[in-house]
Amino acid sequence: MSENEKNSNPSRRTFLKAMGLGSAGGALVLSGCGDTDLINEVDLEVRKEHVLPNVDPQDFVVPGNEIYYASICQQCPAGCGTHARVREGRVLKLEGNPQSAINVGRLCPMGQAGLHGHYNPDRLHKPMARKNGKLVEVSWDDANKALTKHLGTPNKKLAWIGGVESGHDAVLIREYMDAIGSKNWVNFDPMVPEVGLSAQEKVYGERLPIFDLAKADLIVSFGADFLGTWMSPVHFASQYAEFRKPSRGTLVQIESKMTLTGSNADRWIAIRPGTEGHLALAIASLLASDPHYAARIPNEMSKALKQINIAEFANITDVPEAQIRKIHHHLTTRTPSLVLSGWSAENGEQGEQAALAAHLLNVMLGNVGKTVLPRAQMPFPDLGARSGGWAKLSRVIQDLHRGKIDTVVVHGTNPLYHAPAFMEAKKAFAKAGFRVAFSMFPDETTLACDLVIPIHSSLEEWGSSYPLYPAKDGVLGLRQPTMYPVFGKDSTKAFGEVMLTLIKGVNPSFKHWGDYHAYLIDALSSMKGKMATMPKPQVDGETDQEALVQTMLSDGQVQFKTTANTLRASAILPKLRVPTSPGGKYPYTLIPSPRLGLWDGRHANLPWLQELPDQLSAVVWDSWLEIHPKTAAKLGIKTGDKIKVSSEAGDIIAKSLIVDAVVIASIHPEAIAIPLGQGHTEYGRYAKGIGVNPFELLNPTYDDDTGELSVAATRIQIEKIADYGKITTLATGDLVQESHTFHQAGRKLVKTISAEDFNRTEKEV
Amino acid sequence: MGLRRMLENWSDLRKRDYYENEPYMWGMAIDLDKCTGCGACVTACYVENNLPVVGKEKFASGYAMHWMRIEHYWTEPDDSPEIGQKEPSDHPERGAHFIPMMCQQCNHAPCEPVCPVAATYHTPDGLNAQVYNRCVGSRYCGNNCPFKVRYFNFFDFWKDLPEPLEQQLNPDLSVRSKGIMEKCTFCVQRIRAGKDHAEDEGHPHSVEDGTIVTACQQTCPTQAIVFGNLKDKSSRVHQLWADHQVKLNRHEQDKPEDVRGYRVFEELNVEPSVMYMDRVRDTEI
Amino acid sequence: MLFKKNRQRGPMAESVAEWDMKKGFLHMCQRAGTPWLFGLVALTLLLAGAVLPVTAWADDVSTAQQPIEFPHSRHAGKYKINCMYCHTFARRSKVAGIPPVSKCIGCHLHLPSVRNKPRIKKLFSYWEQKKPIPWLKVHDMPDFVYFTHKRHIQRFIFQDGRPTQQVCGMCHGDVKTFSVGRKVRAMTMGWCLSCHKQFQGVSDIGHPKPAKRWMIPVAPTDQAVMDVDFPQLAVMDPEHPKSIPNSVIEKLNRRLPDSVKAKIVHAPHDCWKCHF
Repeated sequence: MSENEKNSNPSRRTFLKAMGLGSAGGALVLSGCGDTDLINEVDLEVRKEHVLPNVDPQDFVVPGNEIYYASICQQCPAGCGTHARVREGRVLKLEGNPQSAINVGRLCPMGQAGLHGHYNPDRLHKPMARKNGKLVEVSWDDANKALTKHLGTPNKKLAWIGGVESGHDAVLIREYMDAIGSKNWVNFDPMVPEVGLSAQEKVYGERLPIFDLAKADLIVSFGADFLGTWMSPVHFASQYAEFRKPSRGTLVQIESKMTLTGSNADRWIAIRPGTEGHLALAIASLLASDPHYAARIPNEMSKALKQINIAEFANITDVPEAQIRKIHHHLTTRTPSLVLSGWSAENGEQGEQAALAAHLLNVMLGNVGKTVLPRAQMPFPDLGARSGGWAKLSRVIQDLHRGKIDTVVVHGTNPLYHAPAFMEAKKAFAKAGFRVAFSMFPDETTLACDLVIPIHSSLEEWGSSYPLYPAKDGVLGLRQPTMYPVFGKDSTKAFGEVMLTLIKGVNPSFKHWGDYHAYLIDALSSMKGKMATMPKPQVDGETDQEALVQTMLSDGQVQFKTTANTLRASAILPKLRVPTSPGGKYPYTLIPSPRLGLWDGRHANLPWLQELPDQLSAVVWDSWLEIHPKTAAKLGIKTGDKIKVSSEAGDIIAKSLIVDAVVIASIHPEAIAIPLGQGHTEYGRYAKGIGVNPFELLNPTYDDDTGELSVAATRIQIEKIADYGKITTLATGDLVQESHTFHQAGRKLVKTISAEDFNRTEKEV
Repeated sequence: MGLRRMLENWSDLRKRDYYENEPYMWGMAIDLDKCTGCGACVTACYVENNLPVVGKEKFASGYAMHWMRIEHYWTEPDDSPEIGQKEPSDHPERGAHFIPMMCQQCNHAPCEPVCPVAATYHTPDGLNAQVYNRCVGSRYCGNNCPFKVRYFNFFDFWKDLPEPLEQQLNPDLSVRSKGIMEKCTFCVQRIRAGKDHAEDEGHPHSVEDGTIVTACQQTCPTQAIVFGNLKDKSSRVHQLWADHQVKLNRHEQDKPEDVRGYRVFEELNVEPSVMYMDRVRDTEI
Repeated sequence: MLFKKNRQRGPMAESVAEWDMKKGFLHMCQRAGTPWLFGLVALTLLLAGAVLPVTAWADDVSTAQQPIEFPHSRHAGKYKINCMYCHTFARRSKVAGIPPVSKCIGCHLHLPSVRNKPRIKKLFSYWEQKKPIPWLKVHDMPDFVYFTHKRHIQRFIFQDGRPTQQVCGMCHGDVKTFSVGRKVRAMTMGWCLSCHKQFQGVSDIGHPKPAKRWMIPVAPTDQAVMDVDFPQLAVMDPEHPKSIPNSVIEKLNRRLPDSVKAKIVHAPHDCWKCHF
C-alpha cells in the first residue's frame, strides 16, 4: 500500500462508491483515527481549519448576519451616501444610502468598485522614506520623526497640493496651513469644471447654482456629460429618470465627441471642435430678434446679437442652419428649458466665453428661477468642498521651477500623472527640497516623494465630507470605520489622525483632543445649534449627546439649517473669436475624453473598472483612439490599426503616442478622441503600463479668462504605423472589445418608439 | 431535483401550467428609455456574485464572466434610417441603443433539456437554476442559449486573486471553480434571504414587494430595472407587465405597436421572464 | 439586501472584528463544484493506477487538538446550561457561532474556584491579550451548501417547543456526554434528506394536490423519529437519497393524519434551495 493510498480519505472512498468502483484498488480501509459516523461508516472531515470567535464584540455583531454601516463614497467628489455591507468583519459590498439626497440609494460603477480600492493588493501599508535615492520601508516612529522635522515647523515655502478637499479634513488642513504660515494650499482635480464654475459665477452670481433637470421640458447640453462625468453623475441620472417620465422631456446634446449623455440624446449634434459657443451665440441671436426674449437682456446686447450672421455661424460650427433654427424653435416652444455647458465646450480655446454663451441662453429664455435655482447658504462654509483646476496647479509648478517652494505635500491627487509634458512637472517636483505624500496607492506622484505616509481607505477611518455639487444644501456626509484596517492596526493610519498629530506640534490648542475621532465628534457636537433637527434619545438611559452621535452615524449625514438665497442673473455678451480653420501640419483636434469608469485615470488600478467595457466603444483594459469613418477612410485606417499621434506640445518637445484605432461615427470628422484613464507609469499591477495618457500631448493653450488649461484645444496629426492583422485571437497590446458587432442585424433587440406614442400610451407606475 | 425524478416526469415538468399554483414567479421589467448604458449594474453584479476579473488576454478569448452585460448597437448605414429620420446619417444622431442582457430565466429554457446531468432545471419559483456541484461542464447549455448569457469557467479564476482582494468575496454564494457553467441567478441568494426574512415575520408565502432587490436593480442610477414576483398582482413588476400588455405563455403578443413592452426572442417560444420596454426618441427635434 | 436594513446604532469600533479575517476565509467563501469532466478524468486516472486529485473531498481527517479541551459534558451535562446560552447566534443566524471570548469570561470571572485550573488560565491569557481562541472547526458544511441554523431552531424549539438539547442533538449528537465537541453525523446530502423526506408531507407551499410532485414522506408520523434516542436510527446513504417508489409514497401519504399534516415542515424540493 503506497503512502498515498494510506491517506485515502473518506471522500475518495465515497466517490469510488458512487462510481460503482468501490472495490477497485482494494485500498479502502477506515483510517481509524478521528471522528467517524459509525452508522454510515464514513469518516468525518473535521479540524481542518480554524474558526476564530470575536473577543469582545458589540451585541449587534452576529456572525453570519450582515450589518450595514453608513459611509460616504470617495471615488469622486460627488459624495454619494453609501451603506457598507459588513459580515464577519469584512466589507463585502457598497450600496447606496437611500437617505442621501444625492444618490437616493443608488451608485455608479465607480462607487460599486470602491471595494477594489479598499482591498487593493497594491495598497501602501508601510511608511516609506527615500534613502540613497530609493524609497524604502521605514517604521512609523521614523516616519513620524521625519514628518515632525519637515512639516512640524512654520514654513512659508511649504505647498499643499490636494484633490477636492472638504469637511473636517479640509478644516484641519486650513488650520495647519495657517499655523505654519503658508498660503500655498492648492487643490487640483482635472475633472472639476473650473471654467464652467467661473462662468456660472459671472452669470448667476453663484459658482454652482442648482440645475433642476427633472423640471425641464427640453435640455440643450453643450458637452455637459451629466450622466457620465459631470460633477454628480448619480444625482443627475436620477433627475434624468424623472425628466424622462411622461410627459417626456427632450434632450439635445451638442458636442464633438459623443459622451454617455450624448448617446442618450434625442438628437445628438456633432459640432466642429471648439465652436460650441458659436452655436449658442447663433441661437441667442435668433432669440434676440423676438422682443419677448430680448427684453431680458440690455438693448445694446440684443443689437450686437442681431448682427450675427447665422449662415456664417453654421459654417463655423459645421451644423446646418436649418438645425440651428430647429433648436431655436423648440427652445421657444418648450418651457421651461435648460441649457448646460460641459467638458468639450469649456475646454476649447475660449472655454469660458463658450460657457458664458450657453448660460446667456438660460438668461434669455427665462430659465433662471425655474430650472436654474439658487443655493441655500450653508452655515459652515469652511466645511464646503475646496476644488481647483489647472490654473492653480500650473502656478504651483511655476513656483517650484523658480524655487519658491521648498516642501511639497501631496494628498488625494496625482499631478505628475495628469500634468502635460510641457509643464515638466517632474523636473519641477525634483527641485523641491522635501516631498511628502499622504497616499493609499503607489501612484506616480507618491513614488516621486521622499516620505510616503500610507493612509486608511475611506472605509477604515472617521471623517466627514461635503459634496462638490450638493443635491440638498447643508448636508454634511459622515464616514466611520466599517471594519478593522485591512492590513492591520499598525500598517496604515487615518489621514485625520496624522494631521491632528501634526497640528498639535504647531498649534497647541489642538492638544485638547486625544484622537481624530474625539475631535470629529466634538466638532460636530459643537455645531448642534445649527442642525436642522435634534434627535431624541431612543434607548433607555441614552443621553441627548449619545442620541445625536448615534443618529449622525446611522444616517451617515447631518443636515444643517440653511438660509435661502436668490440668484441675480446678469447677461454677459461673450466675446468669441472665429477659430483658426483646421489644416496645416496638425489638422485634427485632440479631445481627451473622460469616462464613467476610469474617470481621469484615478480608477485605473481597480480591476472591476478596467474590465467594465467603455460604454460606447466597448474597449476593455486599454486606450484607444476614436476616429470618424470618413476621416478613417481618407487615411486608410480601420479599427485595430496602430496609430501614431503627435502634437507640437509647445516648441519644446514633439510628443507622440501610439494607440489602437476605433472607427466610430459618434465623433466629428475633424476631432480625434483619446479616452483618459490609462498610460500610468506606476500605480500598481492593474494600471501600470497599459495604454496612453492623452494629457501628455497637450499644448500650452490656456483659456484667456480663467487661466485654465484648454485640454480639448490641442491640434494633432495622426499616422498609421501598423495594420491590424489578427481577428479571432488577440495578443496583449492589441485592441480588445467586448463586442465586435454593433449591428442588430434586423433582430429588433432594442426597439424604439416615438415620444409622441410614448406620451400617449404611457402612464406613471 | 433528483435526476430520476426529472427523467420520469419530464413531460409534466415542461408543461406550461405546471407551476401555476406556486406563489412566486420571479420576473423583471427593464425600461430601455431610462437605461443610460452606464454599466453600474454590470459592476454591481461583479461585486455581489463573486464574478472573476479575467484580464485582457482572457477577455479577448471570450472568457469574460460578465453575467450581466450592456449590449450596445448603432444604427448602421445599411439599416433602415433611425426613427424620425429620412435617410441614414454620418452620425448616430439618435444616440446609441443600449440593452442590459443577462439570463432571461426562460420558462421554456432551451438550456434545460440538453443538460446531461440535470444540473440546470426550472425551479418552482420560475428561476432557471444552475447547480454548480452537479455541473460536469459539458457546455451544451451554453451552446443552446439564444441569448449567450451562460459563462463557462475555463480556469480556477479565484486562485489568481491576490491578497487581500479575496476578502471581498461574498460568502452567501459559491465561488465557482474550473469546469463549471454559471450565469445570472436573479441574485438567488438575496431571494433566499428575503424568503427567510418573510418567514421570520410569519408570512413565508408572501414576500412583500420591493423587499427582494437584485444587485443590478439596487444600484441602477435611473431605476430602469424593476424586479419582483409576477404572481403578486400588486407588485410593481406585475403592473408593468400588465400595463405594457405583455403576457406569459405565448410566443407572440397581441398588443398594439405603440405599447412599449416586448420580450427579446419571444418568437423562439422560450418564454423569457424579462420584459423590456422600448427605447423612446423624440422625432420632432 | 434591502429588506429593512439593520440600522446599527453605533460604529464598528476598534474593539470589534477580530473575527477571522484572513485565515481559512476562502473556505467560508465556498468554492463549489466538480472539476471539468471530473468523472472521465477520474476514471482514466484510476485505470492508470494513479492517485486521484479529488479536490472537493480531499481534506484529510485530522487528529489536531483543540487549543482548550472544552468540556461540554460539564457545561451542558453537569450544569445543564442551555446550548443557546453560549451558541447564542443559532436562533438568529445561519451559523450557530462560537461564543465570543467575552462570553466565557462573563461567567468565569465569577467562578474563582476553577480560576487556577490550567484550561481556565489559558482562557484568561487569551482574554488578557485580546486574542481570539483559535478553535478548530468540527462541523464544516461542504462549501457549496446553504444551511441555516435559524430555521431549524425556530421551527423545532420555538414553534414546537421541544427541548433544546434534543433538537440540537438531532444533528450534533448527545453533546452533554462529550468532552471536546466532535462530529457524529456525516452531514452528507443523503443524511439531510433522510430527515427532510420524512417530514416533507405535501409540497412546501401548500400545493392543493398532494401529488407525486416531490419526494414525499416515508414515515406516517413525525413523532416516531423525534422520540428516538441518540444515535438516530435512520439509515443514510452518504451519497444520495434512495428514491422511493411512487406507489409507496402515495400509500403513505394517504395514511397521513390531518394532525400531522398540520405540522409538516418546509422541506427543500429543489436543488437551488441549498446549492447556489
